[in-house]
Amino acid sequence: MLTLALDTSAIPLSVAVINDGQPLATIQTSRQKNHSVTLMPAIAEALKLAQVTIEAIDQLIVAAGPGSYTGVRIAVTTAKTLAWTLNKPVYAVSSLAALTLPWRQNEGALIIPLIDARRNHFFAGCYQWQAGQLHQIASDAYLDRTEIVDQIKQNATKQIFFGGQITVEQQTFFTEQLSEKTCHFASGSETLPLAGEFSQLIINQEPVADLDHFVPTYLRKTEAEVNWLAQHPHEESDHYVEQV
Amino acid sequence: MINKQRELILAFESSCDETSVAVIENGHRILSNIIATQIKSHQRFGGVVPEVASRHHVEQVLNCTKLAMAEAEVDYEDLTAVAVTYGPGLVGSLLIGICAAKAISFAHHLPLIPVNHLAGHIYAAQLITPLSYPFMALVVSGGHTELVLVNEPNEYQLLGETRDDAAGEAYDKIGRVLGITYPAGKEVDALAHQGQDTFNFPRAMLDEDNLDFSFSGLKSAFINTVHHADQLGETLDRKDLAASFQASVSDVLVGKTMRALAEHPVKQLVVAGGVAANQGLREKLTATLAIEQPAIELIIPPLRLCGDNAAMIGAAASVQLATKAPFADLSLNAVPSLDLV
Repeated sequence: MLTLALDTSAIPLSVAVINDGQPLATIQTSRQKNHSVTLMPAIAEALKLAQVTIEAIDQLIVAAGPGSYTGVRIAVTTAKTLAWTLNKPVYAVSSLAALTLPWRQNEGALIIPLIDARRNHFFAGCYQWQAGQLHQIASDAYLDRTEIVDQIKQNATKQIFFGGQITVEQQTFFTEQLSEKTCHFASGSETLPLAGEFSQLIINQEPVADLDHFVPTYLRKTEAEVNWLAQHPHEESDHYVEQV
Repeated sequence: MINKQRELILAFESSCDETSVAVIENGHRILSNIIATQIKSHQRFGGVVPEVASRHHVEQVLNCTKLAMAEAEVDYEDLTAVAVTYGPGLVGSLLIGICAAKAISFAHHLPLIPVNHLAGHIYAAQLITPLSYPFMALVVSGGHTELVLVNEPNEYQLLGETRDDAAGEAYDKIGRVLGITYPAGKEVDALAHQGQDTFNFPRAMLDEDNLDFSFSGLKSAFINTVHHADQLGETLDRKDLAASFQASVSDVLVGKTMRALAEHPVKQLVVAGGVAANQGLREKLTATLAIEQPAIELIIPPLRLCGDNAAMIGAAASVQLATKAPFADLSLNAVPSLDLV
């Protein structure tokens, strides 16, 4: 079973070709660079290094958000188009769940993967790995950092493992606010989504059923829509786009 | 086996608020041209909101592609190439068409043809009638006002362009003052036909010895006229206001086009872009051309091909293929302010 996995949800890019859970080739970058430029060449290169053709791929896995709106759109559009045109299934995984993978040996620990969304806000998850299975403790959400602290405090677990790229300043904030806990922050390659491990995120999961309506998990409406909805409650419709 | 007699291009367009996918045969025959428009969505905000547009494109791109392939009754092995608009336009919107086009081009080992959106508008004419070189093109839309001389296939010479607002943009801005919802062009056009040019708005740069345009002064004159009347408690005739505005826009567009045609002899004049749908402009251009340049053939594509669509991108891509213009590789990126030349 050959899998193509991809993630461009934040600054890092991760693309892997996996054979029955074993990564054959992985491309990993962490430069502030345009994913639209790098993603397809990375896919081509990963396939080449793995010595398989795109036709040989049996399934795809994509990190579908939350994260950078442009980043998740690039990954999702690329994955769903490849899946449709090659007639292969695609699995959508949470971009935050992807950041728990480095901590999967820490049985039962509370894992808080974060993607910086600026102004002291984060896309934040709350997960636990148990017996090789990932469990979601709270839904992925867009939260202020104090809300994240409150959420963590509700949990009795003492050991807290943060995933993703978090600045030193933010690390200091969380450490100070959670003085009764022991905070561990990902470092080095632990901060990156590792597409080569994504098979572990789709255990017992079904592929995307409706490719047409497969869109990124943004978690937030656009500012324009929020403002419009405030002035026009009950007027939202599903028919904003029409074929002409 | 690729049928060499039959050149088939799968084309993508997503530069603004329309998602469109088309299949074009031999550069001029439309086998399919699926267009999904987001106008209703952006009407909520009085204009296109880029992030909203990008999200809609992701929702639409696959369905449009499916429909385009099905309606054209072609398979991937029949295709010669994949084409996509890579600029100018909204970066987030452009990227969706680019991602989809790259994925299909890579999955089926097809060359990828990067197309300039303006070249697409110009070559929409090729879907109507064969083109003979050199020909003149007036590109007028919500984002562009340009006079382009096309000397050879895929060889453009920019003769003039707007120095501020695009013609279509001016329509939307004065439309707002008249209480007309975005996009305002069609309704202003209809109003104008019921009124008279009584306000004598300025014809910007019409007498200047160049082929450039300016519509921001006209827009200001219009807004000032309405505001001044408001302060005096007067209500101006909306029909006459629209007629006066439209007369100024079309006088300038037609005047500059005639100057260009006088300086550069051609057999054909192509009018392209969303504003090419404007009846006032069509009438004035047809009438003036008949008097001043009766030998020149005027080509204005039907409405569906004047607005943004992928069929025109397929037509332009076919010309690029014929002229051996370079293909794009998998690193193709959106270029929001891409120039034609």
